[in-house]
Amino acid sequence: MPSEVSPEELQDIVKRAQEGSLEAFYALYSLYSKPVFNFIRRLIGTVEEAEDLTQETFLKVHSEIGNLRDSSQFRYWLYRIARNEVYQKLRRERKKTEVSIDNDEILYYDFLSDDSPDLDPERKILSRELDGVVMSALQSLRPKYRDVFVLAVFEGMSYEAITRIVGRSLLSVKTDIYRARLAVKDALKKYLEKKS
Amino acid sequence: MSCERIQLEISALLDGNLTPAEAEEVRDHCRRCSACREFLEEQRELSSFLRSHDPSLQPPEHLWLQLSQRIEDRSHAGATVETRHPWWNFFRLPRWIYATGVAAALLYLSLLVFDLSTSTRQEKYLAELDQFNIQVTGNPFLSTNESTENPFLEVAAPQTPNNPFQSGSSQR
Repeated sequence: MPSEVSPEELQDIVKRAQEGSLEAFYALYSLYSKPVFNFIRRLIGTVEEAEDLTQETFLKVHSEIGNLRDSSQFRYWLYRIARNEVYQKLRRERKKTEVSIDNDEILYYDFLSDDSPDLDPERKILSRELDGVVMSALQSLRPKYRDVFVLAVFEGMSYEAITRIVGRSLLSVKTDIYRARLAVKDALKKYLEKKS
Repeated sequence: MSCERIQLEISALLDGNLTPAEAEEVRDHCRRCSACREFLEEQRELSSFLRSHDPSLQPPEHLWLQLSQRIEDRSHAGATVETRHPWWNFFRLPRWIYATGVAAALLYLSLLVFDLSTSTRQEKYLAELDQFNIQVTGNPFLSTNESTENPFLEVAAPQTPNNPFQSGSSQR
């Protein structure tokens, strides 16, 4: 979650971007491209598609930012655009949302930072495998559970902020996150049982 | 609170979405309930596991280059990317205003059509009536020439009484 700027500074940047400053738009991109990219990646499941959709999201932000009435709502608006891009893509491709937990295809190894050089090769492989399992577990969730779960657990967003992005009630968001937690736990449990 | 409710709150607690009072209530319940305590530990481990095994990645450098290129291309192509304050924004109003406008226009049109059809019918009716009147006036009994002069009136016209001043001498 970007925390380098205060809400006032962010509003100022948004206003300058609304006035057409490409520099200000780049500042917004710098602040939010990483969380948005990861949000999309966790929803869609692959890095390649996440790259495309991140680009589409920011392109839309650039063309529509002039119409944003309240600059303090920028963050929610941005995530909503990103979420819509993912949903549109899923609808277009009629992608199956029920991905098997033992799907071995892991499409983002090359992009993972090698932040654990002390791990021996075998443990590295296991670690990467588990990374793929987490992604598969996320993909096994129903989309309405997945987006709120990713926003809460990975993005660390408050439930209040999530309600603004997904347009659902606080109780609905809370319940869906709880159900997602149970589903992810079950998916991982099944995987671990299968492995052992 | 029931265990199910507490477990819902545990999820919120782990995501940092409870007030201190609510969090204390959940913790207090977990001290007394082994099932909920176990659930709390399980879910805490799950959060930690998920975060450690799906770290956030940095988007590739070329993404901005491609994006800025596309923005530039759009500008050059005349497909106005710049929509800061386009003139048509002036007309951007809430949807309900447009809906009300459309409803009013439809109502006006339907009234107009109704009015037109009514007046056409009325004209037709009057025309028919006129025609009927011609037929009626063609009735010899109602003809203006004859009808104004009531033959009975002429016959039954009272006789002028004798003026006593005019013919007083004669009477005498």
